Amino acid sequence: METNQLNLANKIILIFSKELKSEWRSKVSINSIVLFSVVTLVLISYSIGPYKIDENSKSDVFSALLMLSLFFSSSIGLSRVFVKEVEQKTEITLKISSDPLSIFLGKFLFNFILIFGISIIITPLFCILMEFFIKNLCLFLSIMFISMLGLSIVSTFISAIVSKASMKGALFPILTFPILMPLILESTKALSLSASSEDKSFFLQSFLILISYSGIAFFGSIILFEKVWKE
Amino acid sequence: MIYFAFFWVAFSIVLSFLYAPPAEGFKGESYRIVFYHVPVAWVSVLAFFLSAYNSFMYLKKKDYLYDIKSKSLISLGLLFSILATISGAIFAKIEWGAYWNWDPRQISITLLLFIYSAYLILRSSIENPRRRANLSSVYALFSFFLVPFLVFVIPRVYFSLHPDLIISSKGKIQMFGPILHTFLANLISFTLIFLLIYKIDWKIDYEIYKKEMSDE
Repeated sequence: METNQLNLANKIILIFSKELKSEWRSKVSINSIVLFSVVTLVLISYSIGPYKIDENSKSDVFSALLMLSLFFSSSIGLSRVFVKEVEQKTEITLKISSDPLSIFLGKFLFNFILIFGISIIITPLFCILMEFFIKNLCLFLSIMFISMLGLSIVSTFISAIVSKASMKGALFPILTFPILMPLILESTKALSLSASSEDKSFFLQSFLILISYSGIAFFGSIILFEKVWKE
Repeated sequence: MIYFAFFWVAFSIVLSFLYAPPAEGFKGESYRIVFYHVPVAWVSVLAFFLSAYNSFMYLKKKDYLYDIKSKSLISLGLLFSILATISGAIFAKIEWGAYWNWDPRQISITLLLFIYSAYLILRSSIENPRRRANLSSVYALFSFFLVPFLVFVIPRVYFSLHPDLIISSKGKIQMFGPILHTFLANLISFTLIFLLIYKIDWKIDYEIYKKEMSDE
């Protein structure tokens, strides 16, 4: 039992480091996500700016804009995790070398670190450009962490489905958006509350909703991934 | 069954306009839309649950009949969701003054529409029938896991203007007497319409599939 767990952990780390190496070589996902986020940020900053929104609705509007820019940026970069295996014709080699569970978990871990890392870079930039000051940074980051967790689970799973279909680029946001919408709505609300006040009473409810959503998505993905991967 | 369904639908329409008395707390006769709006919404959720069951059965048994049934259910679910959205928007205009105000229930139905549409787009983007059946079943099941958030969590967590006409937040039935009878009659009539169309739809698709197989 212990050996099996060790094997699984080793396999996940192997898949994760393979993803990291392949990303380090091409830098396609990281560059596209960062560039897309920065372009969106510049557009938002130019068209709305820090002073066009009144102080009361600032946190609502800016939290929604931040989440939307991160969602659309992720839809460009995170979908590549399985699509590139098909494009580079490495899918069969991967199938032979590891089991579906470790492949999914390794790729999910990579996607999660990628999007959470980028959100950590983009959020301060957004705050500086939009004069958006967060009152409860700790809660803001915790919500960002859980939201990116849910986002990367769903994105990794849908990426596996999309990699087997045609018109991959257009299909990914079409399939992910309706599924991710409850997560985006709740995290936008929670981010806005943590940015605008120091009151912590909302946190437990939002935390439970986000974590149960991510939990269901995680176990759903694990159960169904084998059916997609063996296709 | 068809004759019985026709009779029952006609009977329910008559009940909803002549038997049910006017209700208090609503503008004019606007509340009567509940006899059509709630049943179509119920049918769209029923279609979603049944399609998840058929998707599960397809993944388990790899029988195309389940996939055909699932596709048929989702198409009908989409149709009934559109009807629920339109009837809800008409009620919202009369009661709240705007067709659309992003009430949590409106968010839920919109997302259900998006999921149904995404399923159909996914199907059309895969040419291989076996792969199409497999992947669309997986997507239908995966979205089914997360649908409770749309249908049960969002409408209860966020503030909603949507009335709890049938069952209150305390779990008590809110309708009584002739209004409840009429509502139940319409619920049965829309379920009958749905089941009839569903039966015709999947049978046509299944015949087409069998013909394609015999041609090959």
